[in-house]
Amino acid sequence: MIALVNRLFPEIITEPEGEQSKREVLLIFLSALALYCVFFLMKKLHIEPASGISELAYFIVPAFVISSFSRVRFRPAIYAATFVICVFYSFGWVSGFLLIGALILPLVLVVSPTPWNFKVALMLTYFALLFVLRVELVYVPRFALIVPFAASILMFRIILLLYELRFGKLNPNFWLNLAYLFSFPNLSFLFAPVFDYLSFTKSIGARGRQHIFNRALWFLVLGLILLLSYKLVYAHSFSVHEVKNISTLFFFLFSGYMTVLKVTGTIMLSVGFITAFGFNLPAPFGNFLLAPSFSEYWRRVNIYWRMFLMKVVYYPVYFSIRKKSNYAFLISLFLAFLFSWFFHAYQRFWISGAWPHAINDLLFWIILGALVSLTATPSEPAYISDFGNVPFWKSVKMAAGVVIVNLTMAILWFFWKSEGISEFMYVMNSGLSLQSTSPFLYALGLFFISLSLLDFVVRKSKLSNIFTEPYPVLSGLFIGLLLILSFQNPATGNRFLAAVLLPTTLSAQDRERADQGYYESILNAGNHWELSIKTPRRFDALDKVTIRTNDLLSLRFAQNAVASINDYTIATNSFGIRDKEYSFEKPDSVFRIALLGTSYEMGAGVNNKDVFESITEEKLNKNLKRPVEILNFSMGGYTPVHQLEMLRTKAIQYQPDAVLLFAHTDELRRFTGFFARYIKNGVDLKYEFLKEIKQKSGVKQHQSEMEIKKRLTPYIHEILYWSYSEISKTCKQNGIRATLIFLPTTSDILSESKIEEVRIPAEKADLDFFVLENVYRGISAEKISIGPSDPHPNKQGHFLIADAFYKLLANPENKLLDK
Amino acid sequence: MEKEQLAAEVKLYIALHVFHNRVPADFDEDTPLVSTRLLDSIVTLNMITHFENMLGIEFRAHEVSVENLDTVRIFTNFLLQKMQP
Repeated sequence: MIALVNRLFPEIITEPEGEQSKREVLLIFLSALALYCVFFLMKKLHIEPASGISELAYFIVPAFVISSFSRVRFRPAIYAATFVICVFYSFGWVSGFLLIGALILPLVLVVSPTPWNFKVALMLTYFALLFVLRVELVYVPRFALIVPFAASILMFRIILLLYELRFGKLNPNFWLNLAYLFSFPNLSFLFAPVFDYLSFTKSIGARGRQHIFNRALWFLVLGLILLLSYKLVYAHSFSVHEVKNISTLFFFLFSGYMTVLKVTGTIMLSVGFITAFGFNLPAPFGNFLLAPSFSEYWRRVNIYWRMFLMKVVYYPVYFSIRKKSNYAFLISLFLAFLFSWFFHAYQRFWISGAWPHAINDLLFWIILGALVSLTATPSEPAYISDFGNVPFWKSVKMAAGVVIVNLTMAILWFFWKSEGISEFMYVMNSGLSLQSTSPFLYALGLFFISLSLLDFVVRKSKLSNIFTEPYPVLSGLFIGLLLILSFQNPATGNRFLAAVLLPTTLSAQDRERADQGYYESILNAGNHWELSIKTPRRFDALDKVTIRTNDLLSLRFAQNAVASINDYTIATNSFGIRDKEYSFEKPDSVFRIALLGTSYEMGAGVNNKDVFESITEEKLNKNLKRPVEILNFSMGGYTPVHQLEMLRTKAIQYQPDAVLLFAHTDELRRFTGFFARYIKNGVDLKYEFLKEIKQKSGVKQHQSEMEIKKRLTPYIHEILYWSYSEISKTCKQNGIRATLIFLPTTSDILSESKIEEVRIPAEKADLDFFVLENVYRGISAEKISIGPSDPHPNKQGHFLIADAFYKLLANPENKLLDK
Repeated sequence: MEKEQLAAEVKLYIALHVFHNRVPADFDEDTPLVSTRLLDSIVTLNMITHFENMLGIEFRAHEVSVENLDTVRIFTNFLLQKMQP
């Protein structure tokens, strides 16, 4: 038995491992407590809630304890087993097995006794298969779920495994190789760091267990602080529309640039969790925000990424051309940056499914590469060794460098993330139209002087590079402070406390985007559950009452289904609509309306009885002599094509006297988005007209959604008009009056042009057209919408809509209830 | 070349090109150089070229790694290994 265990789990380290002393046992439990506190703080302070990692604490913390008590040779297996448990918990049995299989297969191929070239060919074939599944050339739902995760784990690690294999450096220990792929932080953070294979496999047991855990805890604490800092900056971030002068431009650029805190924080957390299991990984970052030159910035900003590029691009290129060219250094550096662009795009492709092709993406890397090349000289002194007896002017020089580097990086960052070069130029021009520069210059001057002094003090006191050494007492102190902070009352009116303690609310800029794209938040529910570790409850529960179909409806309600979502309930009737029961045959005396709408009319976020359709129906029946039935055929995300399909396949069977069609702001843009989803999902477009549009626009299923949208945009007016015409035609053929009602969204600043976008095609299609004007009576969006990140109307919002809707229907001049 | 002599050459090179002659008191043959980012890529490549020319050896790209360069002792041993026929 022992022999079998020894064979299965061979020794990894040569040093003898003694029994743990009482002090060490106590330290392990204290470490487990500290680790649990990290998870607790993440949950309590709403740090990266979408990652779902705090839900895995109940597996990770006990696994950490087991790992800490076990001998080093068992630790990689325990680490890999933790991953497996987390996979099954997060994905279920079937998808879990598929994901594990998708990771084991390439590992088995890599370690198999076949020639290296053959392995490379096999890996390329394997990635080609993943590519087919990722772009959904072949759509298999379960694979669509697991491929982003498998690819995010394999995309760089397979390259590194093959690289080391080429030079005979692959570790023979199976469990170490497995642990290299089976890394649980990857399940929560798809943009997990590219940690080096050799650094990983050689790191275990390299130093004392407690020393390694102290480092892990320090990384985790730094990760928490960075992410909380990002929360704070994000809560006060500027919108692009607020840029009016140099000060607002500066704050806009700065708040955007501070996304690096989020990236750094999540990578710190990932590395912290891995290190906690005994893998003594190097620090992923230096204090790059204090880098005095671009080359120093590049050295510190993402050390793992830089190591990866050096290994697979820079050194191989340099050594192959150094005897042929005097510019070998510059050529290899330039190629390293070019590949940095390529690998970033490659990474984004596997995670998002679309290849980013904006020119500013490529230009960003070229400009950064040029800046690094210009400042990277062999004569540059080793800055971090430059302690002790240094003159003050060096600190002044360093502060000037820091200011220049960070200002440039903030501008470059915006250039990288902007929609295009024209947007970048527009915003920069708006900000640089110098009106009042003095507050900005004073602030910059103050920062510069403070930094010079700080640098001087830090150098004198030798407190540099805080990321490299562990400080267990300081870690404990920070955890204690954060715990105290987490129990504070956020409702004191203190903006700082609210920003830190409450869930992140959308920034001004993102709120604008959310208002524009609130439909997408529903439509992209599929993406949500594909890409987050735990399905958000709302979408999870929606799946219980809805049926996804690969036809023009895409989504419909199940019959007689009930689901509680957060604090409201959705109940459907025997017709499969969110409404009360009606008789199939319409009673003679009844005026029956078929209401075709989207998430607003469906009542996303409120109970059945609070949906404005339901309130209006009740009010009409109370106040009018004639009974009225409003059958609600609405569904979140529906566009006029869905409404047409719902009318023809379902609503018409219930013999309505009138059809009320609802439209909202930004109808065309979201229409484009949903039509693109038809193409991506390979839906049969059914109607000749739609098939012709597909052919004329040249859209294909394998194209990115962005490309499809772009190609469809010129045709979208035609599609909208066609949909309205078909609805109108169907209604006329059945003697039904069809009306289109424009309902503004809760945060609309209504303009005539937005209404015209819908009114013109509707009237041309012979639909009656009404606008529910001033429906919200000037009440602010936050009081009548579900929440800061969900602009759907709340109970009060629905009450207001119901009132306006009732008035519209009850007004005899409108003749909406006339047969 | 003897091991001690070679180690002294490596130390001297690092003292001149990494520390610019202001060598910290605690610098010794086991001070990590790559993992602490004291040795950047340019200095590393220059150092490799210097010792290639001095010892008549040739490095390959995959040999430029922490495991061969991290300390004076490790680098010296690696150079000696490369010098063996």
